[in-house]
Amino acid sequence: MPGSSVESHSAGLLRHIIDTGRDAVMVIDPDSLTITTVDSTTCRLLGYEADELIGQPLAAIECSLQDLFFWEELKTTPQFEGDRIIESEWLTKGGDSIAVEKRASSYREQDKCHWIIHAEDLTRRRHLEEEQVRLTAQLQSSFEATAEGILVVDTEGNIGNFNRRFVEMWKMPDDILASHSQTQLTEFMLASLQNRADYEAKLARITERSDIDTEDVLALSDGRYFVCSSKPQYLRDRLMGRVFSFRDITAMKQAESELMLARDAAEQASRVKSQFLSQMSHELRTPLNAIIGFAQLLEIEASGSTREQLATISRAGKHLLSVINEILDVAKIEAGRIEVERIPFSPIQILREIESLIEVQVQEKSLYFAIHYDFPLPSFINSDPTRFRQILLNLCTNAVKYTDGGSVELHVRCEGEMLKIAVVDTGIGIDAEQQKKLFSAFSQADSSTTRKYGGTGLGLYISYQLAQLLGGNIALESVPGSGSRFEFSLATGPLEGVAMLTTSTALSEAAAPSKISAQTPHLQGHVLLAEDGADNQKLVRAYLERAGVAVTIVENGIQAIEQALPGDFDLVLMDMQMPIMGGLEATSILRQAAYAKPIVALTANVMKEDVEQYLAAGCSDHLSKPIDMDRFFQMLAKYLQPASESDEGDAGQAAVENMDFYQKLAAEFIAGLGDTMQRITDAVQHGDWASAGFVAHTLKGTAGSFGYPHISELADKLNKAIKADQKDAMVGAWTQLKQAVESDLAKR
Amino acid sequence: MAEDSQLISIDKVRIGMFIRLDLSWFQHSFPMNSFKIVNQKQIDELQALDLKHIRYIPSKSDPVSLKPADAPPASATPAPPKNGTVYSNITEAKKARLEQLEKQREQIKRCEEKFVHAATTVKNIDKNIFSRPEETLAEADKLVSNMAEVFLDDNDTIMHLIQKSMGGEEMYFHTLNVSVLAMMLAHELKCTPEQIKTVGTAALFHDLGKVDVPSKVLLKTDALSKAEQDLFQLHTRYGAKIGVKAGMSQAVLDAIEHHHEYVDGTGYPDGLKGDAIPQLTRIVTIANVYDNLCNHVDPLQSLTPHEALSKMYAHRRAQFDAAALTTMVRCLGVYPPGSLVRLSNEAIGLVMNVNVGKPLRPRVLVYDPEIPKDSAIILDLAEESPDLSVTGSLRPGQLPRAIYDYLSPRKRVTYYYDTKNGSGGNTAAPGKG
Repeated sequence: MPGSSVESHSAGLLRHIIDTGRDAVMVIDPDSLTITTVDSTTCRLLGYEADELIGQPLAAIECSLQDLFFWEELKTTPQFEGDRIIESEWLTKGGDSIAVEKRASSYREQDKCHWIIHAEDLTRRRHLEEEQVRLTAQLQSSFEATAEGILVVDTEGNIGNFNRRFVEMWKMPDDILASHSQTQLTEFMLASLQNRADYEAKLARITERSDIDTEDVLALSDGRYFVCSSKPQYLRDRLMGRVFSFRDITAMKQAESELMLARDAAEQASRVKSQFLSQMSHELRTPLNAIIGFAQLLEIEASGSTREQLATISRAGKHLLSVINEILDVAKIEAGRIEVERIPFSPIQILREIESLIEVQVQEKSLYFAIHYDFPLPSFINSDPTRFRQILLNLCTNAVKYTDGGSVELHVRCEGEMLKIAVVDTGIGIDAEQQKKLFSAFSQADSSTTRKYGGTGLGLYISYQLAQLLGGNIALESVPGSGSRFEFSLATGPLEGVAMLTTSTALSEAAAPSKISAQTPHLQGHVLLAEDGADNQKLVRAYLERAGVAVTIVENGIQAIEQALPGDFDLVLMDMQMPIMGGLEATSILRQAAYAKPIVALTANVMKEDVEQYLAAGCSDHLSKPIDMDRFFQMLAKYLQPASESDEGDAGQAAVENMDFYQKLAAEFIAGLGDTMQRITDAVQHGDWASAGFVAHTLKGTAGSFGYPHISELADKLNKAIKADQKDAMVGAWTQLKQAVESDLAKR
Repeated sequence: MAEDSQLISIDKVRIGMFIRLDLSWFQHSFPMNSFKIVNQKQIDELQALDLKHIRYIPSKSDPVSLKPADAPPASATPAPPKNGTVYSNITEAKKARLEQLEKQREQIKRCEEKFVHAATTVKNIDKNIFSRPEETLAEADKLVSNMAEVFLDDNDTIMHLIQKSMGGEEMYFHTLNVSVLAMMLAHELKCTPEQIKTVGTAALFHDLGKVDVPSKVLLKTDALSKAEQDLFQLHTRYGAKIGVKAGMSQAVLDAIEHHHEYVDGTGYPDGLKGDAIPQLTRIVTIANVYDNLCNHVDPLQSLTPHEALSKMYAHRRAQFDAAALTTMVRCLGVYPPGSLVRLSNEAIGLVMNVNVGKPLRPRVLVYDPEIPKDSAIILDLAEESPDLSVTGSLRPGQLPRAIYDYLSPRKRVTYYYDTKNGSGGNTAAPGKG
């Protein structure tokens, strides 16, 4: 009974109730459409005082065109039931218009009809609505603008939303989309996958752990790949569902697999190339082996012009071999497969070897050549002796090659743990432009130099790369027309505890062991040679017979095994590349059969990993082809006994006889030393430097042989100075030699 | 236009969704192919179409949820009628619609022809009034008489938006527009036929004096300086002088001289107030202001018809004859022809014409990308269910390009009226005059 209770309330209370309501309330007279009552909310909204509004026509505050029609329609039925609602605009005192929703109702009291307006300020609601529409539109356009397919699922598994991209990516049929059933949708997606069980398991995990983020790669049956990432969707802190996003990475995958194929192909090509080079190396070295070997052998026996011709064959062969070696080195460098050793060796010894090698070339061109040692120098360093020799030889050979007059000098010094050797020449020099590309492969200073001087143009490139590998460098200074200075440095390794040489005497001692004469040893024993090449068979047989050793020859690994096991051989020389069964396999089988005699591998494949393979298979040692006679005899001497008395007479006796003879000769030498020195001095004093040089050259050899290395060295120095026609050096060397001889004679 | 549509099954359709039917226009009973669902009846009708799926466009829809829980299961109506019967009903309905459309297009075409004739006459009047005043006045009188004949009929008067152009040029004649509006107002204000004609004639000549104002001032789009204003305002006096010479009636002369006077005394040249301004003059004034707001010298500063009327009603009410103003609102409606509007079904359209007796339910040319522009649908809101109504007006600049091109609103708003059935008025054959 709401009506009866209202009556008991005071007008003031009712007024309060109206004034504190949210709506603006006013009463109007339906006939005149004038305002009869307003509440305080209305006044606040419009900015008027109540008495300013009361009595005014409603049209004074209403300014929407719709109002006109609204009230006219109401006028047709002044007493109406319920509410009439319309949106309108009201004008404030300040002239602004406010959007309102007004609700009109009619009330009749004592024959008087009133219209009551409840109005709500729509400003805020409009703003919220607009904001919502704006946000929805913004969200929707972002949703559609993304390149990813998006699917939103709620916690109950209902599909909340998805974008067009999602439909396109999955080629989702209409009826599944329209069903909005996650079960159907998921089933369709799973059916499109190559491995549905996988993804099913992942979905199961998501169901268990609804708070995790996921990222998976999906492989579709049609060959496409999607990355699917999913994240839980929260409203404030409440879990609402999950957002899946799918990115098509097929193109990326394809590019990736193409890259992998390209890489595999490149690697395969590289392997084939290495194999080819290795094969070529064998094919080239084998015939060279025969050529050089026989030339060397014949050279020993021949005389006169024939000997010269054989020497040429041998030299040409060795040159060809070095070219092949260079090409192989470059191939290994390019493939990043070159490796260097770190073993202790005497750099001085190698320098001495280089000296004796270069000397020949220098004499041919009448150049002055000298090595200057800046003491102290280490007696041993830890590096790769083969590469060290190779670099030095290359630099020195180049210096000689490109110097037509003047000198080639080496300056050796050690700074910290770096050994530095400068090769200084007075040759044609290299201009700045050419210097830049000098250390690149296949580049010589210019093509005209190639024509004039020959060469592959690979030497410096190889040397430079090797120097880097040895922890050093090659630096160049050059003035065209005046000469060049190549400084080669390399890491010595730790020098702690290494004896340091401080004088040239010590130097001679350090170098002494290198003076191994290339004499044929006299040995005994029976060697099995497994070698399929006829030329090599003959050569090795010739070498062996020269050393007095018996030989049996077989042509492949199987024959080698058949002969070796029951036979009584002291040494097996095993070629690695043979038909039917190779040396590697044969060696391996022999060792498995507990064969204990030494087996030396003969091979053209001397890459480090090859050699390691031979040793691993059971080889005791290896000899590289082409066979160097000196090395071959050294190897034989290592594994065979010297010739016994029955073959060569009493060895001890022979040694004693040799010693006697030696001492006799030595005595003769020292007795004649004064005269010899005098002959030099006479020639010098007569300005006959040529004669002085000739005598000095002879003295160099004899002094060396009879234990006077320093006299040998000084004689050599004098000889070189004379050859180089360097007056100061000539006089200096002669003075030094004279003093040394006199000093030695005085000691006696 | 690409839309972000989603297919949903028919039983998930809810009120508030904007949907698109992937059917030919003849295969359904709805006035349009795309629309927002506003009542249950539409859902029932959709279900009667026996479709499995409906394309739903979230971005145009009210925020609604697809979840089955929060909407009552569709309709209490009995099972939908069988497909066949629905189909024949649809065909009938669509046929009726097509006929209606055809009729509306004919009406527009007829009205445009009448307008072209009147416009040609006005062009001659403007050209000859100085050289052959007597002849020209007679011609004007004839034109106005013809125009007034429309009101002799008891038929409803329809105010049409004229979209026609001639040789690529929009045909806009300010004086003719003011005449049309003023005569209509005079008629609605129960003026005598004689008065209506006087209003028409006065409107045709109200800007006569502008001939003596430099065109530099007349065509200036920026605000006028004080001196320029003074010069411009003189056109009222100049016009009256020319009118006297031409031998125009006193009522016409008064309208020419005082068509810028406002009832609150803020007008010029004499600052007349209230009843000091004759009623016929006040009618010309209000029509003139409305047309000037809709067709500013600088089209960019023009208001839409809805804005112009709202502005006059909300903010300049005191300047006008109250009865004339409310009558104008009553005649043209809240969204006068030429207004770009949004309908309750989220369609966008251009108000083409208004039945002077039913101003709130105009006819609207609606944008529907599925239907070629040439045969665009014109919805007669007077005939549609009350659920379909205009919900707001738009500015041309707010329209996406595709819709703007489709509706192609003119820079100038031009009106001409006709009776509903085309009888009466302007019987003169086109080209004559």
